[in-house]
Amino acid sequence: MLFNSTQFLIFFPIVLLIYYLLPKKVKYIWLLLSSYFFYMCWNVKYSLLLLTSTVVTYLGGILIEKIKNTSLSDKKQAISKKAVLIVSLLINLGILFFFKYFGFFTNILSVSLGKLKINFNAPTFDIILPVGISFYTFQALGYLIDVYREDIKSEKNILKYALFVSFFPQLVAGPIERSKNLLSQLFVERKFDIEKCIDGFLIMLWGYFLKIVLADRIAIFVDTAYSDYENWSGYYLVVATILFAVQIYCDFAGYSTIAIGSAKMLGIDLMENFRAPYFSSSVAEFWRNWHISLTSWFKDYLYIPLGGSRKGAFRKYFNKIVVFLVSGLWHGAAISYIIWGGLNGLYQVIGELMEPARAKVRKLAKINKESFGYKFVGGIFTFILVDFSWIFFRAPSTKFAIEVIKSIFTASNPWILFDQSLYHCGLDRKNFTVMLVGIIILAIADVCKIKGISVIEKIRKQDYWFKCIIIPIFIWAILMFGIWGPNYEAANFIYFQF
Amino acid sequence: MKKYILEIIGIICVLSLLIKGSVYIVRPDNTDQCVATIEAFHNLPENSIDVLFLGSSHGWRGVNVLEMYEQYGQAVYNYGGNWQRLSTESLFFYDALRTQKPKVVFLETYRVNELIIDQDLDGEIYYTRAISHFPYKWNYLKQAFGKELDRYVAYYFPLAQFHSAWKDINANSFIKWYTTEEFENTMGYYYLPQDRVQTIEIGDYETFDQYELSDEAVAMLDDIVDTCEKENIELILYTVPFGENYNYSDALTEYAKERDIVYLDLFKYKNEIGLINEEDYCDLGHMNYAGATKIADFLGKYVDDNYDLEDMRLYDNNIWQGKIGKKTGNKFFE
Repeated sequence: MLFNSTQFLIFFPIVLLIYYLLPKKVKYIWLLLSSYFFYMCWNVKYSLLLLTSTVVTYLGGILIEKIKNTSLSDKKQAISKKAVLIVSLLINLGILFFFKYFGFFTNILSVSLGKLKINFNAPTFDIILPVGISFYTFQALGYLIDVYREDIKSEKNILKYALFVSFFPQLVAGPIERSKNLLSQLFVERKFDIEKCIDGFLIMLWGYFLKIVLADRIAIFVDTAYSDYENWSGYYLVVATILFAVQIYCDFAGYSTIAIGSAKMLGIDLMENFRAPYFSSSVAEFWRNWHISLTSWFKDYLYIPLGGSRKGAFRKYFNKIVVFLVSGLWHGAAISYIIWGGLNGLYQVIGELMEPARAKVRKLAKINKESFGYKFVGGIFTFILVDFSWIFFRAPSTKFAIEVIKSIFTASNPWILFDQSLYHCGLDRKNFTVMLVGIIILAIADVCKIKGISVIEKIRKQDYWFKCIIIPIFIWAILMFGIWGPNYEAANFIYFQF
Repeated sequence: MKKYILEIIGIICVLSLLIKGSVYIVRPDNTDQCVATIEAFHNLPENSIDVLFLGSSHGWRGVNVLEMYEQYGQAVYNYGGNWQRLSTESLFFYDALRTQKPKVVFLETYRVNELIIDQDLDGEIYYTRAISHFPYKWNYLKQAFGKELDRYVAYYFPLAQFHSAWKDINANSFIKWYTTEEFENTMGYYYLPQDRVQTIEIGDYETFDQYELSDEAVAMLDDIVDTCEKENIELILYTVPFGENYNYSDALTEYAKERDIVYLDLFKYKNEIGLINEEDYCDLGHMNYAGATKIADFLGKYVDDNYDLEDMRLYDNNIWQGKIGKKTGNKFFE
C-alpha cells in the first residue's frame, strides 16, 4: 500500500479514527493490526519475515537481559550476551543477505571462478525483494544492540515490541527509528490533540507535494533521458542528472515527510530524516543532513564500534570508507551502489585530507569560512560531487553509468538549453514550468528550514480567513498538478527497493 | 476546539468549491450536451413516450424526432448520446424503462460490437454520472471498471482522472455549451444546422467487409431483446448511413431473423429516403438537420405503417406541440 495510493487514503483515516476511539489499553494492538495489514497489502507471505525478525530480536533482547541477571561471572555473562547478539545478528542479516544479496554474491562468485576457469553454477531462486526489509531489519538490530549495550531495557510485551518494528508510517522506508525514541512513545497515554493532528496533516500535505507534484513529474524527464541515453545525449543528460538529484530528494524526503506527518497525527513524533541537504557546503555536511536516520544508525552501530576517529587518522579514513561502502551495499545489491557509496566516502576522506591546504588558501586570500560567498561556492561544489555520484545510483549498471558520464563530459549540444528542445524530453513546456515553480518553492522551504523558520507554525498563526484560503489552495494545487489518478500508475517510492 | 472545528469547516467548504469548479473546467470535451440530454429526458412526464430512439451520435444527430410528430403525430423522443457503445446504449435503455413505457424502441447500431469492459473512465462513462444509481447501472460500472478501486474513485471524483487536463484549459472550458432546455425543446434530438454541410462519399454497401458479432455483444443484445419481449416493446435495430464502411449489416440481419425482430440498415434505403451526399451530412459520420429530417420522415412512415400508435396531434398542449412552437426561437435553430 503506497502512501500515494487510493487504498492508503481510505486506510489511514479509518486507522486514525478508530485509534482515537479505542481505549488506551488496546490502542497499540489496533496499530499493530493496522501495521501488519499495511505490510501484507504488498505480500502476505513476507509478513512472516517481518514476524521472524521481530521474534528473533525480541527473544534476543529478553535473553541478553536474563543473562545479565544470572549468577554467571562477568566474563561468562559478556561471552553469553555476545553469543546471543551474534546469533540474532546472523539470523537477521542472513535473511537480509538471502533475499537481497544472494543473487549478487553468487553472480560475483560465478564470474570470479569463471576467470579462474572453474565452472560454478550458482543456484538460482525466484525471489522478490521484500519491501522495506533493510529498514525494519536495521531498526530491529538497533534495538537489540541498544539492549546489549544496556542503553535501554528489553521490551517484555511481544505485541508492543512487534509494533515498534512494524509501525506502519515508517515500516517500509523509514525513518529508521531508535528504540529510545519510538518505543516509549508508542505506549504512553495519548488523548486526541487537534493541534498535533493539524500539524501532522499539514506535514503530510507537504510530503505529498514533494512526491506527486515534484518527484513524479521530474521522474518523467529523467526516465525519458536515462532510458535512451544515446538519443538524449550530452546536455539532456546533464539536465536529467541535475534533476535526478532533486527527484530522489523529493521522492525520499516526500516519503519520510508523509511518514512523519501521519505518525504525528497518531500523536507520535518520528525523527527528522532530511535537513535541507542540498544547501550543505561540504559532502560531510550533506551526509549529516541526508537520510539522517540511516547515517546516524551507521555512525552509532558501525562507525563507532569500528573505532570511529579514536584510533588515528588512517583508521578513521578507513572506517569512513567502510561505512560508506556498506551504506552503498545497503542501498542495493549492485556494483554501482558500492561505487556510489565508495565515492561519497572518498569525497569525505579527500575533503578532510585537503582541509589544511584549504585553510592556508583561506588565510592567504582572507576568506571568511562563514561568509555567504564561501558557503555558496562550497555548496555548488558539493552539489556537483554528490550529483556526480547519483549517476551511479540512478544508472541500472556501472557500464551504463560510465556511458552516461562519457556522454556528459563530451556534451556538444548546449543549444538545447535555449531552443526549447528540453520540452520534448517527456515534459512539455507547461509541465516543465510547473516543475521549475515547484523546485523554487522547495528551495524557499529549505531556506526557511535552515533559518529555523517553521512554515507550518507560521500558517497556523495566521487568521481564520488566511488559513481557510491558503490551505485549500495548497491541497487543490496538489490535486491539480500532481501526477496521480488512474491515468498514472501510482509511482513507487525509490527507496522502497531498499 | 470550537475554533479548530470552524477552521476545518471553512477549509472543507473552500476546498469543495475549488474542486467543484476544477472538475467543471477540466471535464472531458463533448459531454455537456450528453449531461443536458440525460437531464432533459428525466424531466419528461412519466409514461409519455411511445417511440424511443437510443444510440450513438449517429442516431442522436440522425433522427429529427419532431418531424415524426409533425408528420405522423407520434409520441417520440431521441435519447442518444455521444460515442455510445452497446453497453451505454443498454444503460440508457434500462434507464428509460424506469420512467417510460415505450411501445417501439429503435436501437442504433453504429458501435453494436463494442462494449465497455475493464477500462478507465472516459468521456462516455463520465456523462453517465448524470443518471442516478439503479441496479443496472451498478452492472454497467462493474463491467466497465472491474475491481479497480481507483476507477470507481475517479467516477465519483472525476478530478482524479481528468486533472491533468489543466494544460488544455482555455476560454471554452469555462462555458456551459448546452442547457437542458435546449434538448427539452428538440425532444432529445441533437440539432446540427442545415447549412453545416460536408460532401461525403458513401460506398456500395454490398461491397463492405462483413464481420461476426462477438459473443459478449450478442449476449447484451439478447438481454435487451428479452426485456423488450417481456415488456411488450417492439425493438427495431437500425443503422444510419455514414461515410465509411459498416461491417455488421449481415450479422445483424441474421441476428434479427433469429430473434424475430426488425433490422433496418438504412444504407440499403438511402435512395428511398432521398439522402443526398452533397446536402444532408455535416461531417463524415453525422447528418445535418436536412438529413436528420429525411431519416425521421422515413422511420416515421415505417412506424405509422406498422404500428398502431396514438396520434398525439389530437391532444392540445401536448409536450411536442409546445416544442415546435419554440423551435425557431431556440438558439439551436438560429
